[in-house]
Amino acid sequence: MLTFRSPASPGRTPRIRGLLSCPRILLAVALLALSLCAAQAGKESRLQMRFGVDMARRGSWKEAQYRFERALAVAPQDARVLNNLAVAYENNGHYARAQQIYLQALEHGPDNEKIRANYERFRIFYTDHLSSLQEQKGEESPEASDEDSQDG
Amino acid sequence: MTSTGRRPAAAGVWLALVFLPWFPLVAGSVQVPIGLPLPSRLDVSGVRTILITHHVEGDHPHLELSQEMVDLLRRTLERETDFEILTVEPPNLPEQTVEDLLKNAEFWRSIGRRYGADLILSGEVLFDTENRSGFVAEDYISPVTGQRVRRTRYAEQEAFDLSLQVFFFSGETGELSYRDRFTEEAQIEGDPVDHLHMFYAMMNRLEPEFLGILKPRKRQETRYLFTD
Repeated sequence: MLTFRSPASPGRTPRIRGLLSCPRILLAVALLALSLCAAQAGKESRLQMRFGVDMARRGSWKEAQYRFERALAVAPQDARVLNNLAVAYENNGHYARAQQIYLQALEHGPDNEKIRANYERFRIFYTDHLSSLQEQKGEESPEASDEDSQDG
Repeated sequence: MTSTGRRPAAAGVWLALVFLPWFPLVAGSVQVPIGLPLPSRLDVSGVRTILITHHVEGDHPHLELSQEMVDLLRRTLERETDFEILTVEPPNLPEQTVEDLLKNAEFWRSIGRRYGADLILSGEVLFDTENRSGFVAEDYISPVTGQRVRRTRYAEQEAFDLSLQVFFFSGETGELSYRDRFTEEAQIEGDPVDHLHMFYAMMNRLEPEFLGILKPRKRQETRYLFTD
């Protein structure tokens, strides 16, 4: 057990040095530090996610999108965060970006049935939407038109 | 002996310390409604005034289909859009086939200039009715025996078939800007229904699709959001 003494007291430095010289303890300390960092990031991500979902349920989808983007900044490979962001992009009319983010979500969570269900519904809608735009605008690129008309 | 007994417990503690912070990530989801924005199907930038002309109409024993369409479209566009719908006697169409009318840019340009219309709305409306009364087979549960019994009975039935084509022309050039086609079918059993009432009911069902030509709309769907 560690005992803390005044800086002047002899014997402390050798004792800590002795503890830190043990590889197992060093590894444990490193893992604990890593774990605490991850926990902090996870906590931040969860806070942003919860707030984002709350905003989405109230219909404030621009705010929800912002919160999911913040959550993604601290958890860039979290399939759930990616899914939520894709849904927000869909609702805000950024369909090409939504598709890109859905594909990333599926890459990180290939077995998540809810993400798959969301993507399948989106894919049906988006295919139909693109073909409508193609019919209307002839040879003009529908992808570019879609983002131009909806972004901003 | 003591060291072997403590090792599994110590390992468990360390594993818990490392993985415990991630545990809350295993959490729930909610289903939320979303509205997918769709742009108007016709580019209406620069359009301020719309002229509605008479329509090519099919034969109907009781209804003046073209006049009904003009009145209905005028009211709908006034109520649902910000365009100025010109309140003039609707211009008549030349005696031409629909395909020839679509190519008659000179005619559309001339009425566009005469009435000061940025956009001209015309179309073709067909409203067919058919008496489908006759004997129909149906199953019912006998109140005496409680068994399912098949019987035939005479049923009054009337079928309605509405077909609407809409054409939008540029008032400036007379060129066709957009065309679309909508259809609606209904079959009513029982006492005969008023045809005008049916016509309006069926047009009412087409209204959201029709308005989607001129104004952006949202398609309602649902998606899953993860709460943690």
